[in-house]
Amino acid sequence: MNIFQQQDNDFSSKLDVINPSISDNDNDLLMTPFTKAEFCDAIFSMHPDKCSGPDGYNPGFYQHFWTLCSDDIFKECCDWLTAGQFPSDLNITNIALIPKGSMQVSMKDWRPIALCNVLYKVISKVLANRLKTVLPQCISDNQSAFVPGRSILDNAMVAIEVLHFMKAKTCGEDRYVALKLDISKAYDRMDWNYVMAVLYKMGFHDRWIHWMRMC
Amino acid sequence: MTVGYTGCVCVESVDYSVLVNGEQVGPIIPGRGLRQGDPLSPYLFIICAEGLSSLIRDAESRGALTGMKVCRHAPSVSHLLFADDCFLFFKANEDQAHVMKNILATYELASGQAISLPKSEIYCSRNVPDGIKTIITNILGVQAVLGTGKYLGLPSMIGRDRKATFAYIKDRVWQKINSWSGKCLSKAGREVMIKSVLQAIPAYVMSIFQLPHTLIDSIEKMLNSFWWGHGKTTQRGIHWMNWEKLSAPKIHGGMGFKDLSAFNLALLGKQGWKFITEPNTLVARIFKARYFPSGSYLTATVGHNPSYVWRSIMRARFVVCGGAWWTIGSGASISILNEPWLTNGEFISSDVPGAHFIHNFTINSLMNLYDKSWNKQVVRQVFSADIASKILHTLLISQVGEDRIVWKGNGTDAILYAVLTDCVSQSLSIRLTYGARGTGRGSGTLKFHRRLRIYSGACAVVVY
Repeated sequence: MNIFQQQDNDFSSKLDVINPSISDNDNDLLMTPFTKAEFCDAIFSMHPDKCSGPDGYNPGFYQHFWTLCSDDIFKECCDWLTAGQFPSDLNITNIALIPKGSMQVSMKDWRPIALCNVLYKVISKVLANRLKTVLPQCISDNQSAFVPGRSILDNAMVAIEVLHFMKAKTCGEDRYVALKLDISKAYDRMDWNYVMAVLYKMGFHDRWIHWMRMC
Repeated sequence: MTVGYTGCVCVESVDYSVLVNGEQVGPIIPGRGLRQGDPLSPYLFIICAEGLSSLIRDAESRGALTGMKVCRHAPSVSHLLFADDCFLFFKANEDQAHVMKNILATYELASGQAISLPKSEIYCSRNVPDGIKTIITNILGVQAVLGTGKYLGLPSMIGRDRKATFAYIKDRVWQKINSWSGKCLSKAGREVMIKSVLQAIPAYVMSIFQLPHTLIDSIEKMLNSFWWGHGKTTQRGIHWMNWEKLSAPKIHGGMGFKDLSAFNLALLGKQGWKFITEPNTLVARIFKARYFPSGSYLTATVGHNPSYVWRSIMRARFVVCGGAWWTIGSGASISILNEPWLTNGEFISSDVPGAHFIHNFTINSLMNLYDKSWNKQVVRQVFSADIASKILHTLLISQVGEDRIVWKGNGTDAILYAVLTDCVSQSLSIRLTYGARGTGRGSGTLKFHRRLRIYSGACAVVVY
């Protein structure tokens, strides 16, 4: 199986179990016109010395000249988003390989990190910041990664408590199993069509899904 | 080695071309994969994982899977996901194992994720007979049986020997010291190294476990010898000052290193504080059902057969009790005993005379029904004179709508750690007697260059 190729399959039946959790109200919030303040936040939340993308400008450059170029950046980005199309060279990335572990023998021992253009990252970040606000509604309690207001320790504490319970359970008819999964290369194998289908099923606005598709 | 690629207008039509030894190879047209480095990727990933979550929830609601309840009224837990770290719980029988296997296969096919079952681990509760264990491992195709594994980088099973469980922290600190000590760091470099690298190593584990004192002692000893050492591990310097004094704040003449046991209690107190302020999270609901079903964290007891996490968090309760304070709204959710609702966060302990009469009452039974004021008659009848006067002097503000617990002084989360750590070291009486002496104090308050400050601080430390 080629792991980078999409599998042609129909998963509509498997998606029936997802409840639409995004209300019209949330969609309105996601679709409100962009403001310059959002872009400003996005730019200044980046570390100025982070590696630059293929165009060679790092966040520090944009932060330093923000007063000069903010209007142009804001206008262009908004135009791209309303048109639903990025210029073809915006989304180019360099891929750097970060070593995993102490010995690098095969390609598995490297983690590919995409170095995006800062301009692209700004747009992506603005969208991500908006997405963040609705996440607590559409992500169930059992997931605590990346959702604002939830902490990794929450999950760890629940897991420890449950395992403690299992360890103490020496009699009775209620027998339980805990299964710890090993998902390999979880990020790199995500099927885009599937993600988009889930977004659609959750009730996100078509336009929003199109933006996600662009990124 | 770097690999560059060009192309990519939108997700649908990315094409990669790879530069191998200067020659362009490609194009490769993918249909999968999120880019690590794109700010949106993490969120798209958890949205995708929500697919697995809803498959499991659906099976649970149909009754095909049974989640685990740690006690009768606890919310049931069938799965815990943290990005790609998954824990699934179900009943140990053939049917449920088949259902789970189907769910995983479905998810795998749809999302493109590859779940490697042979590398996954299972753990059965102790009442599962060996026969059933083998059947389940066969159905799922799982090989290893989880022993004392780690989940999210934390030891998930704590046995009797805590020192052995947490010994890896000490090893990690030791490794870090060894990898640096040959490189002749300056005094200032060492300060930064201790403060932001070495002391940060145990912070994650300390936020839910109380580390054994012997372990903390030996870590502090290592840090102390690193601080006074001469660069090489073999050469030990003279320890001019013990760690206790070095860990005092700079304003008191120390170096401002962290007192690890105080820091540990502060972090644990933070977890307890979260049980009070965010009662609707999954973790808070489970702990409430298991350990304090009818009370709050502040009135809880350690209880029967507690986990080490709960034991640890309970040990830090005195810190939270020392700083928490109720602002009284209706009074219906504050019990009279053991809750800090009097002025300055004082509380009525359960060994006052007649405590068993008011055991189950909340403080609204001491208030007048028609307006928000104390029912003086009742208060004087029930309590002795000094407690009664304390109660009557406690302010009731009619604008406050609901009962809310707040942190004394500035209660924002950001400074909670600072305040907590401060409280803890005060209550552990680590305050230094020599705190306000000459140069030691000056070195902390005046705005010298860091190196100068350390130098004068070190001098002061040596002189005294």
